[in-house]
Formats: sequence, C-alpha cells, structure tokens
Amino acid sequence: MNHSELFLDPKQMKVYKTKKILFSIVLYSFLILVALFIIIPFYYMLVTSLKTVEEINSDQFIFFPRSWMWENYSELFTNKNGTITKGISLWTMYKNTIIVAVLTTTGTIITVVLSAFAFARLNFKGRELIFSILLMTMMIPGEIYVITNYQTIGSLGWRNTYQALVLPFVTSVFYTFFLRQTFKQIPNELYLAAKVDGTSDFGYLIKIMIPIAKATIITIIILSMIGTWNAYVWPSLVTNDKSMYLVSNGLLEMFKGKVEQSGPDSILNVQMAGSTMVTVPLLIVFILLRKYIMSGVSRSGIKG
Amino acid sequence: MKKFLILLIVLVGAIALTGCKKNVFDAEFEIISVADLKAEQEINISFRVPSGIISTALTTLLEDFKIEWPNINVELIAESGGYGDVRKLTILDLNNGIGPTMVIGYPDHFAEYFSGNHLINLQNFIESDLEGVGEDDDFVLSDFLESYLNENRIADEGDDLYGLPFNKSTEVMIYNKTFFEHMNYTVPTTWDEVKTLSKKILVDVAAGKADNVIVFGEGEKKPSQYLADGMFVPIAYDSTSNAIITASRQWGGTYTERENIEKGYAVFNNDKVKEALTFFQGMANDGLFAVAETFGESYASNAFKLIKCVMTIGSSAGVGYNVPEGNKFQIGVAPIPYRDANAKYVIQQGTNIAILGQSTNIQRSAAWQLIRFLLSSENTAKFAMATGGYLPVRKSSYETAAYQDYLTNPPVDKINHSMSANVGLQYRNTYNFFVDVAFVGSSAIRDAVGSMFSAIIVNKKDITKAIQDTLNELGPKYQK
Amino acid sequence: MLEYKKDGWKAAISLAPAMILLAVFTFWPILNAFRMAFMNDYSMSSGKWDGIGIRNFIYIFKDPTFWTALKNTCIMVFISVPITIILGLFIAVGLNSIKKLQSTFQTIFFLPYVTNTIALGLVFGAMFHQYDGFINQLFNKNISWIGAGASYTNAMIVLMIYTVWNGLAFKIIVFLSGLQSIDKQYYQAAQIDATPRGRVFRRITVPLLSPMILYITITSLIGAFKAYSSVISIFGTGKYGPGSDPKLLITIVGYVYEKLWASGVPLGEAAAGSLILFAIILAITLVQLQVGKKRVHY
Repeated sequence: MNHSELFLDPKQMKVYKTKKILFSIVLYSFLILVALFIIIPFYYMLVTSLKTVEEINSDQFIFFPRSWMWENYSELFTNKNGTITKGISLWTMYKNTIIVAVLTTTGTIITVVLSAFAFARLNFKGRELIFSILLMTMMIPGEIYVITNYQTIGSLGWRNTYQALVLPFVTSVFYTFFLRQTFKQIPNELYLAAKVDGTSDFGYLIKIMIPIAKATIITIIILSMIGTWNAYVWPSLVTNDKSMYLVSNGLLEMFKGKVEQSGPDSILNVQMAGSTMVTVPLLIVFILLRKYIMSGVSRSGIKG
Repeated sequence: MKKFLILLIVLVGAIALTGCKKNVFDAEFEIISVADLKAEQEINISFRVPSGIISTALTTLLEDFKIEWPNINVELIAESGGYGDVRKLTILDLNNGIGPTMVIGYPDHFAEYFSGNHLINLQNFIESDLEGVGEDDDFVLSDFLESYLNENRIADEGDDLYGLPFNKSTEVMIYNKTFFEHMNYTVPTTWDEVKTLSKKILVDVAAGKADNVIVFGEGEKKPSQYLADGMFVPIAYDSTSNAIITASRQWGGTYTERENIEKGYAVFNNDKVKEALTFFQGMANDGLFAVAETFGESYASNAFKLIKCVMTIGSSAGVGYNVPEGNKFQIGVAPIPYRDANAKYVIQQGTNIAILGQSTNIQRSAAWQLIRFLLSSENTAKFAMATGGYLPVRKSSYETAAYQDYLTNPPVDKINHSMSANVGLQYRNTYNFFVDVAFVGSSAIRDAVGSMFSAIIVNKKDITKAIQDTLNELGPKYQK
Repeated sequence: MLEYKKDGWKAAISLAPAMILLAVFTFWPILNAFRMAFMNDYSMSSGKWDGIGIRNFIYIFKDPTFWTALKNTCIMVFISVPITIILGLFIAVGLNSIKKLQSTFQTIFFLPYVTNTIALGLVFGAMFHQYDGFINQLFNKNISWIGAGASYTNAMIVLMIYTVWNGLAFKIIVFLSGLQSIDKQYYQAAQIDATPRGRVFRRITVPLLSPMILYITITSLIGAFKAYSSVISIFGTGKYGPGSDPKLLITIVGYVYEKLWASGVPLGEAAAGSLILFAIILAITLVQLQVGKKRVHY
C-alpha cells in the first residue's frame, strides 16, 4: 500500500485515485499503440501470404482473406507457377543455415571458452596487453575485414563451401570478453580448493567454471545462432551456388527480378509466404526459449 | 610470451603461404601442334559460362567435340548468376593465380582481363602456319562480320585479336500482331511514325475499340481500363541504357569516348543527345512512350503480355519473354524505329570468347581447337538456332541448309525466334550495327545513363539537370 | 605464490584456436586494409597499382556518390537513433510501471530482435508498395513510397520507420532490466516527498540509468552507421533505390561494398572507404565517451 495514501483526506484521495486511473489508461493505451506498431508488419506478412492475387490488387485493404491460400506456401516448394527463380530450394536454405549455425556455434563455444579461460584464470606474460589489443579490435567495423576475407577465401578456393561460411565467425572478441567477465566472478577460493584436491587447471575449467557459467554460455549459443540466421552480407559474397544459400541471401535471390511486379502478375503473396517461412522458425524457438533468450540478451547488454 | 609470439608468426606465415598456392601455368607462350595435342594422354580445360540456355546449348555441342577430340575433357562451369557472376568469379580467380582456361563475356569484362594481362593473344594462333591451327578453309577470318571482330581488337596499337565473337544479339521491335491486325495498323518504321501511330492508338483504345481484340478472361483488365488507370502506353523500351545509347547514335550525338582500354570518358553532354532526350520525354509526357518502370515492372515484357503496351523494343534473344500466357495473342517482330534514313543505327550486343593466361600451353592450344570447333560455320548456326534470338557470327552460317530452313520454315516452337533472326539478317543489309565501345568503366557509364533515362521518362526530370547530375555521380574518373 | 605461476604453454594452447582464426580473419585483414588503402588505384582486375599515396582517399572525397552516402547515413543515424532511444526509454519506464501484462508486452516488444532483417525488410517494402501495399490501400492513396518516382523524403521515411521498428527491442530490454535493478529506496524516498512523476524521471531514473544510456547510445550509433541490409531488403532488389535511382539511399557501407563489384574492382578505394568509415565511428565514439565522462553517474 502506498504510504502517501495514509496522509490524504477523502476528497484528496478521490482526486488522487482518479489521477491514478487516468494515468493507467494513458499508459496502457500508449503501450497498446506501441504493441500494434510492432505487430502490424507481422500481421501484414501473414495475411498477405494467404491472399489471392485479386485480393492483393484490391483498392481497399482486405483485412482477412476470404479463403486461405495455402497454395502460396506450396508454391515456395513446388514452384508450379515459376515464381521462384533458378530452382532455389527453401529446404536447402534451412539445411545450410542450420549446419552453418551449429558449426559456427560449436566452434565459437570452444574457442571462446578456451580464450576466456586463459584471460581469466591463467597467468602469462603480456596477458593484459594482448587482451587490450583484442578489445580494441572490437571497435573496428567488420566491413574492413570483409574485403580481405573475400580475397582470402577466393585464393584458398573455398568459394561455396561450409568452411568459408563458418570459419571467419568462429571466434568473437565480444563473446570472449563477455565470458571472461563471468569467469572472473568465480571466487578464487573455489580454485584454491580445487587445487588442493589435485585438479588440473583444465579440469577446473571443465568441472567447475563451465557449469557455473552455464547461463552465459547458453546466451552465447543463442546469440550466435540468431546471428547465423540473420547473416546476409558474407554468405552473399562467398556463395553464388544455389545449393549453398542461407536463408537471408536465398530469400532475396528467390524473387530477384520479380519484385516490382504489380497487378495480376504480382507475387507479393508468395513473397510474403517466403518471408514467413524464414521468420517463423526463429520465432518458434523464441517462444519456446523465451526466458533464456530475453534474460541472456539483457545481460549481455548490461555487462557491456 | 616469446614462445607465443613465435607460434603466432609461424601460423600467420603458414596462412600467407597457402594463400600463394598458385596454378601451374606457362609464362612463355608456345603453340602446340595438332599432332602433339592428339598424342597427349589427357588434357583438361575449363570453360566458364552463364547457366541457362547457353550452357545447355554448349553441352550438346561439347558432346560432338568429344567425338573429334576424345582426349580433351572440357569442364563447363555454369554460373547461376549470369554474366555478372562469370565476371566476378573470373576476376577473383585470376587475381588469385588460378582461373578457367576459357571464358565468355562482354567487351568491358575483357577490358578488365586485358588490363591485368590475362588474355592470350589469339592472333598468334590465327596467323600460325601449323596445320589445323591457323586460318584455313574451316576457319576464315573474313567470314566473321567485321564489326564483331573489331570489338576484340583490344590493344591500343595493332590489330591483334584477343577474343573472337561468340554470341551476338541485337535489338528488335516486338509488336502485338493480333492487335495490329484487328485495328488495321501498319507497323511503324521511323520514330515519327511511332509518334503518329501511338497518338492514334490512344484515341482508339480510349474509345474502347481495342476491348475485343482478344477474349479477355474474368478479372482481366481491358486496354481501355488500363488506359483509364493511366497504365496503358503504346510503346515501351525495355533497356533504358540501350534506349539512350541508340538514340544518341541515331540523333548524331556522342556518348562515350575511349582513350585506351583502361580509360574512357562520358561525353553525352551535347545538344544532339539533349534533342533526342527531349523527343522521348515529350512522347512520355503525352503518354505515348514508356519504360518498364513506368508500369512499375522490372521488365517491359510483363506489361506487353498484359496488353498494357502493344509495341516493345527489346533484345532479339528475348522475344520469347513477350509471348503471353496461353498464347492469347500473336506477336510480330520488326526492325527498331529509326530517326533518319541516313542514321539507321541499331546496337550490336553480346559476348566474345577468349583464352586466359592462367593455363599451360597445352591447355591453350586445346582451347583454341575448341574455339575453332565452336566457331565453325555449321556449329555457329547450330548454336544460334539452339539459343533462339542470337545471331550467327559467321556470314556463311546463314547459307547453311539448316539455318536457311530455320529462317524460312521454322518449327512451331521456334517461330518467334526465327522472326527475330530474320530481322537480324535484315539489319545486315539495311541498318548499321554499332557497338557500345568498351573500356574499363564503360559498364558503369552504361548503368548510369540507364538510370538517367528512367528518371527523365518516369520522373519527368529536367534533362539538363539530369545529364549534369549523372555526370557528377559518375565522378571525376570519367570526365574529360 | 600461485598468483605468479607461469602458464605460458597452457595459455598458448588455450589461445591457439582463437589466435589462429583471428590472425587470418581479423588481424591480417586489418593490416591488409591499411596496406591496400594506400596503394594508389589498386584494382583487382589488373592487379596493378600506381605507387603509394593517398590517391584513393582523394578520389573518394571527390566522388559525389560518397557524399550522398554520407548524407544518407548521417540523416538515418542522427534521426533514428535518438528517436529509438527516447522511445525505448519511455516504453521501458512504462513497462516498469505496470504489473499486469508486463511480460506479455515485453515479449511482443522483443519480437523484432528475433526476426530476420532481410525477411522483414521485404515485408516493409511490400507494406509500402504503391498499388498493392498496406499503407496505400488503407488510406486510399497512391503515393509512391519506394517504387518508381519515389521522392527522397518518402523513401527515407520508410527506411526510418523500419530502422526504429527494428531497433526498439534491444533498447527496451536493456533499459528495462536496468530499471529493475535500481534500488527501490530511491523511489520510496521520492514517494514520501510526493515528488511528481516527471521529476522522478528526470532526477532519479535517468541519472541512475545513465551508464546504460551511454552504452546503448554508443552501440546504436555504431550500428546505425553500418546500415546496409535494411536498405537493400526494403527495395527488394539488392539496390538502394528504385530503378530510376538505384543509389537514392545508398549508405557508407553500401558505397564500400559497391566497389567490390564496380568496373575494375577498385579494392584500394574499397579499403580506403572502409578506413574512412572506421575513422567516423571512432570519432563519434570518442566524442560520446567524453560527453559520458561529464554526464554519466556511476
């Protein structure tokens, strides 16, 4: 109960209560408006993906399609009407993205755990110096790397390969920094106790440090996966074979050349179906792992 | 720390070394005789092309090549991203010391390869005395259209050929034959005739006379309805770049100027070009002339199929894209309009074939044999017929029985392309082919003027301002 | 003492995987970018360059397209970032003040973070389609937002809306958890004094949240300067504008990438462009940190 309420007489209390209700109404209205703003694009995407071409061409916006054109979705896979260019397959895009995500994340966890361990727990000459240098590289925009990496991949003959998609992203200074923070918070006493038990440094890492830092590691896994799902620039630079497309660059390639069509030739519904198919998997994962994801992201923001 | 640094240096060094892994290639050029080639156990060459109709046609021809040369394995690298990808990947490969043995591409791509000294001088082969290598009855240089050959004389001095013509097309005017017959129109031949006819078309369509030109299905809009929506324009030009480049020729203005293979300038800021642009902008303002973007489309053919326009100017190789669904109407193919009988210019486009330097001499000579094979009179005709509206690069191809048949009595599925090829033949006798001269950067200028034309037609941008803005955007590199 | 043990070898092994990868894909590229930027006229197709100098930089500064890209990027950054941060802050404060439905709203607001940038860019492009789009059909208009003949303002508005839409999620969640970690005692004290809400916000909330605001501001500015995917996905064709002006909304990053495909493949200029981008980001960050020193309370 609000302390100030004890000090008001009934008339003031009424004014106070009215103000409170008004404020609530305004607040909730504001939040609802924002929620609408956020949701409308999703709504539009879903609704359009289920419309017929006539409904799309209509002069007035149709809020609910008369019948749900699931054909638009099957069109993505069968390409009966030739909407998709060059025989690009959604399944392949999914498969590639998952493979790359898993490989990248696994590699990232291994390198990041080991490096964070080294910077947090081990002692060696130049530790702080090297770490500061690494921190400075965080500032440098990725666009600088892209140019040279593009050449490197070409010279190694790794175009259209998984290693080209995975390796440049297998280590991240940000995640190393993030995990190192977490590792540093593990009290020294634990380490000394483990030493007394005869545990080696690496044993300590595996048996104690990693379990304690579980939440951070899970956050890194989640962020890394989301990152791969959203990757566009690098995949489009190093792959041009449709068998190696990821979801982002594949989606743009699927409809290349047909985007501006309007009228009876419009493929907006199939396009929106495509966007849906690329968005929904991650959304499902989000809904299932909601708490982990949101708390992880907020923590990564705060630690910064 | 010291051990650590050493480790780091060793690793970076190792990476750098792997980066230097280079292809085996011969620095000194030498022609290998036919006898020596045949004696080789196995020769592997690679050939990068865009995927699609070209790679399909080539695959068929390669089977015949294999019969003649069983020891040469040709790997056809078909890139799904069109010529753009062919160029990108070849540049990347060459830069890394590898590369396909052969490639096809546009003249400005070749300009780029040439600037890195990656093109093999084909003149050596052509002038060779060795049997089966140099010019002979099968391979007559003068049988190639001179304008096609000139494109490949890339060096600043001398007439050496660094490539040979491979796959040529031009522009044609596709019109809605059913529409024209129904409304009793004559196909226009000059731009003035186009203007007059277009005005008449607008009047007739507004009066609803075109609404029964075909049987319109339920929900399909009729021409008068499109006109009422502001979506009907009699004639459209698909390639905005070609529109202005061809117009500048026809009106007698200059467009670009090449200093040498690596340097050229944009010189389209002159009165004749402005005159041409004023003409087209005037037509557009009267609703007579459009580009694809006017209809909100990426290609004018989309509008043509819906009878939002009844004449469209596009590539001779792309006539097939204008055929409407279910063959609702017939199309006809005619030469593009000209302005003045003294300036009947039409653009010559297409690719050339070349041998790249990241190869061994054996590979180069084998590649030369493949080129001789592909460019034989008979095979040029076969290739042209298989790929549709591309024109044979050799004059004698037109005389072969197969091609004559194709021109006069084509099979049903090739009627449209045959019409297109016939127009191409007509051009040889009545029009002048011109080329968009190539140098490093010519395609950037081409793209820029394409956008400029679009802005002038669709956004009604002021012509002088548009030209100035485009020149500014191109930057100091292309100004004289 | 244990603190002074030498872990040289263990460290080398632990750090080896990360270091190798960083060497190839981070350190070497940084060095190479510096190298190439000063190789005059270095082009990938010819493989040649014309001595060492700053000609690449001069070319960029003389190039009107660069200035367009700079202008576009700055407009986007200096309008969308403040809007997103302020809006995000208000939303977070609002969320923090309600109990019912708080987690529902939180989840909804977080959705854009877990959606694919390209996919949703296409959706926004579709929503603003001239004839078949949501906005025009809803208000019965025929405005060309991003299609043929679109005006600069219209196209920029669409881009701005998308950027704000996309950017809110992260800020809301960071601000919210920051708010939730503020000691309740401050608020209780304010209540006893019957301090009006506005005052509470300005004098208590914002200062206590200032480290977070600084961090968000820096990362948002940096992120916004690197705008690229959002632009090319809105126009759907991988370009920065409609057909009649495909460079309408080109950004600095777009300008750099275009060099990778331009005639002659001028890598020297691309590298120089990326260094210029780095310099801009560095400058902005340093300014921010300076401002932060004075304004931020820890």
